[in-house]
Amino acid sequence: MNKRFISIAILTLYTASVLTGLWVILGRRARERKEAVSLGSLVRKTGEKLAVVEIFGPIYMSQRSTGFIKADAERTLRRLKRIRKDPSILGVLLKINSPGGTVAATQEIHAELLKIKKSGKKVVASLGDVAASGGYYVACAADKIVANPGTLTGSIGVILELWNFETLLKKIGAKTETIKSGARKDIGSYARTMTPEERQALQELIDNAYGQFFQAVSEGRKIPKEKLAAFADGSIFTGAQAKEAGLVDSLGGSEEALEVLVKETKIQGEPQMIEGGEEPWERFFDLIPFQERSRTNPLLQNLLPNQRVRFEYILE
Amino acid sequence: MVMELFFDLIHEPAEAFRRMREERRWGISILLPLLGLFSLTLSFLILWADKEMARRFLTWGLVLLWTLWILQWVGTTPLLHLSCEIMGGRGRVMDLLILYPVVLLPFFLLPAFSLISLALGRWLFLFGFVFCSLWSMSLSVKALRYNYALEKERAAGALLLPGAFLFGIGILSLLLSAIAFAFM
Repeated sequence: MNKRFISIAILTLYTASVLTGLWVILGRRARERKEAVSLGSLVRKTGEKLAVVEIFGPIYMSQRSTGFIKADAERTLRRLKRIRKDPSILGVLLKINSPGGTVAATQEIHAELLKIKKSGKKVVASLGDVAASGGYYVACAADKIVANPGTLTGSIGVILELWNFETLLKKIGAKTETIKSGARKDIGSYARTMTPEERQALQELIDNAYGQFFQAVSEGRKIPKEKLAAFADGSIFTGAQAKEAGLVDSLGGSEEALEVLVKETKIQGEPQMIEGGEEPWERFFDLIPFQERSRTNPLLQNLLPNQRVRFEYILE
Repeated sequence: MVMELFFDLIHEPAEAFRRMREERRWGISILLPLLGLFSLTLSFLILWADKEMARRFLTWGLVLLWTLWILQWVGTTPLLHLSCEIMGGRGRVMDLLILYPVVLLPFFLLPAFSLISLALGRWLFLFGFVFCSLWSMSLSVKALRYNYALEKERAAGALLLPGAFLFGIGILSLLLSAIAFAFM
């Protein structure tokens, strides 16, 4: 009898919890409502799509052509190309949290974003903790830029840092033997002091790359060159300062940026958000710690900093 | 019937195992996991899902989970049988096949835990989940002890052996993959 009673009690408890659980789930609308609010208090699902593209960390290209894993810039480019070709995607929310990166990688993403705009889609950039230098260069391609008041941005400029170990090598009695085809083939060598002519040549390169950055900001943000020249000296700004300078359009987080994008695309309803975009194997291999191998002598690699000559739009 | 079994599993697990084994309750062994997985799924949905997601999970998700369970059940039982024999036990694999699904019985309690968690805080669900998992493991050990006449420590060892073996293989594969990629 006792056993039967306890069995019935257990059965009742189980049935009650299942029925209550189903009632809780089926009666739930709070989450759906919250999502609607986050998308600008819109009420109707339209099936129109907005894509979210994340540019996080340094922007650079792979230094090899094979392998499953591509650098983030290449993944981003591949994603952007797919988005451009997808007519159902009306806009792109570009989330940027990057100190910048190499010149070519940055420019390639910037150019792809311009193509996306040309195809009739809207692009809104949402700046996170940092969107400086190349991170800001990329954002300039957007129709609108939304930054948090404390976002670090700006840093419009180009940098090339080279080490000079000539004195140190002399002290330890070491030197490099360089056989070169032309006077400037070992420009930027860590083993000797740079000549004034070499410095001038590199400065011209830097100035040229800076001119491209300057042009992109001026055109993207529609800021007159005379005005832009006043603060395009590598200075870093907070989001609030950047708004005053006209480097960003409004202040807010990614939610606000999404609202701006919904307005820009004139979507009358709740759009479908498309996130991610990595291939399944990329997600798998991301779990494995991986670094591209340098071709530098392993002994030197430990002693010397990475002495690759590359121009960067990066916040140091 | 299931609830009586539930009662027996609390008070006299051996009696519950005896009845299942002697009466050859295949229907229970197949349906019990369905209810267990339904309870498990429902408990997560109560806490985290919206209506649309719940609808999808309670239809296709549940069918998929149940199919995976059947595969896991049929796949794991011979491994456990081998493991128990290695540990010195003697028993029949068909009996284990009937007994093994009882490990999902404790998860019947999870929807209740979810509902309580909704009111008192979600940390309580974690507590409930850990509790049910530990109870489930304890039932597994008891089932192995009963079916293979093993000591408690050996039954626990037999339960962990296939998992430890697969974990070892997994870690080794990951290491070898990482080494292979490092040299690519």
